[in-house]
Amino acid sequence: MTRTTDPVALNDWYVVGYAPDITADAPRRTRLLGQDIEVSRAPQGGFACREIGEDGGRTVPHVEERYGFVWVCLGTPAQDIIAIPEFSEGSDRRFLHRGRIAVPISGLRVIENFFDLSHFSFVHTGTLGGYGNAEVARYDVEFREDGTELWAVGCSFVQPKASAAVATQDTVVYYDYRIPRPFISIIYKDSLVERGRKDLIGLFIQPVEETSCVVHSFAFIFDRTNTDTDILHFYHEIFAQDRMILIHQHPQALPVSPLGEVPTISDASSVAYRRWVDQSGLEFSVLRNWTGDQMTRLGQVAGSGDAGVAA
Amino acid sequence: MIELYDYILSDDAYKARLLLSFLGLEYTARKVDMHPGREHLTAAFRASVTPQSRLPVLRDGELRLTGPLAVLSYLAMRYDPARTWLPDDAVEQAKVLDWMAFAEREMAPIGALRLARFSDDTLLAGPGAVLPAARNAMAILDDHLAGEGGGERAWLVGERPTVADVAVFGTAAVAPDAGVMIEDYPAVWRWMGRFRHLPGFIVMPGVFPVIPELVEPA
Ligand SMILES: [Fe+2]
Repeated sequence: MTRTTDPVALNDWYVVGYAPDITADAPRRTRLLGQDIEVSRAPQGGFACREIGEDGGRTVPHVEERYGFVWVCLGTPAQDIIAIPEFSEGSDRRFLHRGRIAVPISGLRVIENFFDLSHFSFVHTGTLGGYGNAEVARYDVEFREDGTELWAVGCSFVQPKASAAVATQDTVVYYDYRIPRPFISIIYKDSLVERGRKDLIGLFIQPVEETSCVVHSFAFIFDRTNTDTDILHFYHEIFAQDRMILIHQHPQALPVSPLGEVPTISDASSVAYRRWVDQSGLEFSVLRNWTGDQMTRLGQVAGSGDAGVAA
Repeated sequence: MIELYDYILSDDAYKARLLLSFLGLEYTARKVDMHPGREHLTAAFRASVTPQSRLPVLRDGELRLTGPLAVLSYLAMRYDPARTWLPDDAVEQAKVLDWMAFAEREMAPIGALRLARFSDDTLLAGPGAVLPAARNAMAILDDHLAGEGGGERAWLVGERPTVADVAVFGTAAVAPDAGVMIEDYPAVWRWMGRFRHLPGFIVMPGVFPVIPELVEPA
């Protein structure tokens, strides 16, 4: 596809790569908002970005390194890259790059899935949820920073294995979800190791096309016992489970019409997120006035395989 | 003491985990940082684990085996005295080996495409010729399971599940990750339903668990 013309999408910042992965020998060729780009190390330090096109390729002036990642804005930045104050706390937290994973679905759906608590029991059985503890307790949805940020606060959930750092046992875990931009979400999770402190897990989505994205992800956590590999296996298990659900979602863009999708996922935060995205004016990856009546294909898929056994 | 060098998202390693579970064997998992660390490609890994740079690797005492074909065959011969997972009968055993080779060769495009789709390697180039090859493998499997004259096969070889089913299932079950939807292969779909109900069955991320609430009454 070609580069989007949506100014709301073009004027935002997106992560396009993990800084240490991009070396002088290995620039990163990728795609952002339908535009092919190449990100490389600049001779004078920092990073450079060039659009790749038939007209030879324009230099992208807005390239920044922050929080270990490389950020690009293809248009004129409407605001600065989001602030994450915990990164300047001079912290005893551990930073982990969780890898990048491509998903053939709207990046907005990945964000929505990230803070949808109702799927934990069925998708992350044994780690983040269990069949016996499917109930989602009450939480509050708030708009902060003059309505530019969406937060779901006071979320709690009984989790058999809330992180790689804890032994397997049911624990009540408390979360706040911060959605500072439509394609970014950060979870602030009460540390089970350092009482009163927060673990951060963040998703920076690179919207590749309307219905495909790359998820860049980090963890900034308290964990002194597990190896990086142990922690990564834990996260990759969870993310691959989410990916399985996401690739079966239909439609692939995020419907924002209130008459749209049957509310299997419509807890308060999903409804608030879709309204907030709608009001942002964003068009890229958004499906407005969709009146389909489809459930996600998940129920159909999981059901018919088992029915085959019974028959 | 059995040790398994493992990566949670490796379909080949999942095959070893499955058979270990079916046989009720205890083991120690040695976790390998395949992604994003590419640990399996390092000189240290080649020197101390396997020169083949692949998973799974099974260690049992002094023995060291690489890859699903060797690992599954060994576990079945060594730890299944009833010899149902790898039958003694010459014809059945040859057919089992044939399907295990199929899992390594014809189904390789599914595994390759899946890993490419997880990373963003196919983003700019597209899946190319690998996708038709992946679909072709699923079609061959579907034709075999559909049988002739309306008699669907319950298992790949004979009347019981064998290591052939384990080897093929491990990759076929995560074909959706590669963009190959199992709904398009109805006999494969039903075979997977039977497989998922075997005692000791475990999932890997990307494989649907058996969700009791979703099972329709017979
Ligand atoms: Fe999830």
